[in-house]
Amino acid sequence: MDLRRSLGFGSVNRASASYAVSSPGEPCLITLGDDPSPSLLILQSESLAVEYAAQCGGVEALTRPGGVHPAVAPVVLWVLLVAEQLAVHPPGMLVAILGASAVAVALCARRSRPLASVLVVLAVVTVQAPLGVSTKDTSLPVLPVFWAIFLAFSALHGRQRLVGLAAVVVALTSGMLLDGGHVDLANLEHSALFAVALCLPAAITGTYVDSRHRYALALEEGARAREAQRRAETATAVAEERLRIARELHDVIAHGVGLMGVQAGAVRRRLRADQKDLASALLTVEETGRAAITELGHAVGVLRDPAGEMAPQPTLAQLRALVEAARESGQQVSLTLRGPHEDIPVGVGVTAYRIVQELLTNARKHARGNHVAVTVARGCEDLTIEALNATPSAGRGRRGPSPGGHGLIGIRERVATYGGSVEITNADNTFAVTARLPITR
Amino acid sequence: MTAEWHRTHVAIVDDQDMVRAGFRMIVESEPGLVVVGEAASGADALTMVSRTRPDVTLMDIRMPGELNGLDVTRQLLGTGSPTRIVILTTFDTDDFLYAALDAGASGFLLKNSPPERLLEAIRTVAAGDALLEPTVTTRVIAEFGRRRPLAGTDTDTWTLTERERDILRRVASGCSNAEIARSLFLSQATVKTHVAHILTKLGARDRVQLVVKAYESGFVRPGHEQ
Repeated sequence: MDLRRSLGFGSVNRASASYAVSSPGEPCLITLGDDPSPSLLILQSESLAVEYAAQCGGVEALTRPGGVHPAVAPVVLWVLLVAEQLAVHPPGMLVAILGASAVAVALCARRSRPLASVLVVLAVVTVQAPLGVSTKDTSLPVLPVFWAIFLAFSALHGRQRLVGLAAVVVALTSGMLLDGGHVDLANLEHSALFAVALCLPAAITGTYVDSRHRYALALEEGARAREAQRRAETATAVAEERLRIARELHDVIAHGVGLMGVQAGAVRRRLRADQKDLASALLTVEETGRAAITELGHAVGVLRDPAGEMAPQPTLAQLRALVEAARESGQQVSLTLRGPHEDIPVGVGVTAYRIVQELLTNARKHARGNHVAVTVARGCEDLTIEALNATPSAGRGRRGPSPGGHGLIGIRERVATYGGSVEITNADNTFAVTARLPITR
Repeated sequence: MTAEWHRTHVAIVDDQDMVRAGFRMIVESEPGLVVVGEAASGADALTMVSRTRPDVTLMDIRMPGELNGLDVTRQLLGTGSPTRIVILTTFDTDDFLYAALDAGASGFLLKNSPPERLLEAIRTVAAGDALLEPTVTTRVIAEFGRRRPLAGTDTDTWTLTERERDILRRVASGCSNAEIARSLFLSQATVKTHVAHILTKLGARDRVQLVVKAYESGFVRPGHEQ
């Protein structure tokens, strides 16, 4: 689905978009990078945001949920744990405070080195019980272990996850068996239930966060792949269009040169015998022209389609026939010609014809059944070609013509060849393309 | 008694005005030739030729609209028009050459040939011979040599005399009448008469068609240079 059209955005020539996801299900922010008037757009879901960003031409994930500095939460935890220790004053308080500090430091690195931070946290917890820290009076072992289990499921995968879970088991065992340094088997049963109650929510939460993260990555990956394919296809289409333009222009040139040669030969025949130098000059014109045509023939041959063409390049004179053909195939077309057409250079005429041809094809593909109004106006120093058509109502499921779409690449390339301009607007249910070709004599 | 002096009537068909003007200048610079009609499209060419009945028509192969030069050639010759057609083209490509020959054209020239060659083409074709670009002749022979003979052409029904068969072989090799005369120790006039008989017996329009038929029927195979 082309989001830009369904959201009523006009042409976005070149933009790199980045998106930020605040939290699942909540609106996302998109910023358009190179757009002259950068706009913020709020979409309802992350998947739409990724898709939109891809269609705009670039996918860069800004931040993940929160966007908060990784040290903030560990510091908060440290404050909580230390405050609790100081308030409760359990045995092994100093060790506990040291341990809490170590845990907080380790957790600061949880984003960049998840396995290491998990192992350090669990090591601290494991070691604390034999060193005399009570596991019953305070929440010191509980919160770090909870966090470690969460990390094991959200940030670790495969073998690393197994290692982390093994460390969890060790830490829990140590905590459950020992209490303040003494083995306490009676504690075990009580603790086992607690341990399960501890592990399950952490594991579930961790798994959920992990899967969301993977989903976002997959979306990005898919969007990037589609974007890359789109770029490749566009590049190919552009290259093909340029070949087509080159072939047509070479053809037009060859016939112009041919004409020059015929005229030169005709004049040479009329010269008198005593005008040998004039005759010689004209002969040079003819021979150079023949050589040029040979080379142009090679160029056209290299560039041409396998199906040879038996008609000269069509120009404005053939526009009426083109429109008639479109009408016969069921399209509603109106053609308006303004201004003198006689002195328009052949190349410009061919370009104008091809532009109209492409516009009609585009309208047939995307707005079938709607009326197309084509205007070709000869201004003081340029030729303006315009096509207007009503866009089909949204929800018909058709992919709208995007400015970078293949249908309009040809127009851009041809206009660029002549240093002209093209403007595409899509507003009020009307799709309008205006191409301007300068005419210089 | 004064001899009737028949000037060759020439028609010019090309979509570019200035090209037609140039050809007109060239043709009318030659005594003995006169331009009787011009046309800028295939459809116009058909009406013009039937109205002016030229001896020779210079026909651009590429024209806008539904009829190109080859279409017009086929239609004109199909309806028995006596005009002889010289196809003109900008690029020297084989694609159009064989199509032109198949359509029955008597000649095939580059538009930018020197005016002298254009005039020679008109004179030659008006006299009943065919003319091809010299480089093209060898290609035609090579190409038709490559084509497999059409099944069902019984060359015996041609009832050619031994001498005529000799001459046909030489024509298929690209020899001119002068060269054939020399190699067979005949006079050119005799050779011309023989060639005319062969044309009739094979139902060929001109020398070029003769070459085509010789190869297509398998009468001559590639490598059979005489």
